[in-house]
Amino acid sequence: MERKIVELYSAAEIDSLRKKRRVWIVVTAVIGALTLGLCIWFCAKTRTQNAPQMLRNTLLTSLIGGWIVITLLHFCVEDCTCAIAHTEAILSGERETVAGTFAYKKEYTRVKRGVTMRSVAVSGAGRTALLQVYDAKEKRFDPARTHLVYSVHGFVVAYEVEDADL
Amino acid sequence: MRIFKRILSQLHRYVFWAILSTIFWAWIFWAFVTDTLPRNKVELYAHAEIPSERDMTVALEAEPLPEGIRLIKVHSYSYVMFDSETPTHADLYIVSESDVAEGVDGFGVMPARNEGDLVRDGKVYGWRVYDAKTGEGCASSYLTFDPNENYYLCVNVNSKHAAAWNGSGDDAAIEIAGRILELP
Repeated sequence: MERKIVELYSAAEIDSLRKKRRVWIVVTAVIGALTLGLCIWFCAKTRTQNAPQMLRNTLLTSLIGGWIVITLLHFCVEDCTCAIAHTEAILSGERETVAGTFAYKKEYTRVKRGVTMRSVAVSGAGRTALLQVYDAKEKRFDPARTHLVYSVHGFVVAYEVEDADL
Repeated sequence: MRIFKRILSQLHRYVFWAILSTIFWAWIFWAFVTDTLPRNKVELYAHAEIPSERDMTVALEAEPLPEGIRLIKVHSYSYVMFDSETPTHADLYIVSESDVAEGVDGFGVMPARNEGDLVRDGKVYGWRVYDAKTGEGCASSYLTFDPNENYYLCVNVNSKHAAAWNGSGDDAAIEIAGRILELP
């Protein structure tokens, strides 16, 4: 039976990620500008009789808007940046072949300014080892379907399957 | 659960932003939005209890403000000494008779208004706004006078808003003084 190699990474992903990051940056900037604009507007609309209410509105708007910006920056923009860097490193790295039986472990790990990865246990020939799978690729890699994977820097980047399994 | 843990790991950023934005906007509000330069405001210090400074300010701002004036500030200076810097920058004062001697050097000459005016050396330094004998006065809805004392409305000799009386700036303080006299 023919064997096929399923690639988990591609160069086209980098362009897609860059575009996605640009979109998130624009969304973040728009929300930040709206927040600032609203705060300035509340200040401009302040009169003696409504000063306490306008101050409360300004503080709430700044607080919530700022939290949204922080969330978008950290969970969306930074995630895209990390994904781009990770993908570029993977595509430029040297592949190694790893044979054995694979199984997902429960743990997820995330390093600072890195991607979230899930551990994959490799067993065979009386030894065990650990590889990592980028969590965004997790659904595309089924450890039960393969006995041979390709890894770069300890990450699973491709794996072999029987043609019939595709 | 993972997302919750990631949010928790960034909790310090959210807390830092909450503190920073609160301090920043509170400062902007109190320094620039609800206050302004002396040339753009008329400030009144009253040596009487003011139950609601905001209510009195709103009443004085009910009519369009004089040109160049962005707001009126009303304070009770019962907690500060007369010689501290803050009250000496005010334009108008409402002082009790017992405090007149302490601050009369800082008052400007005003035109005569009626019999109960504060007169020193033949010159008028204040208009009576509360008569202890009759218990009558203006702005009684906004000021709590000591019933045993007369109170006078005086102008700061250095005010930039009493041109007709001291020759400098505009007449905004004079106009506001007129409004104080008409307050119920």
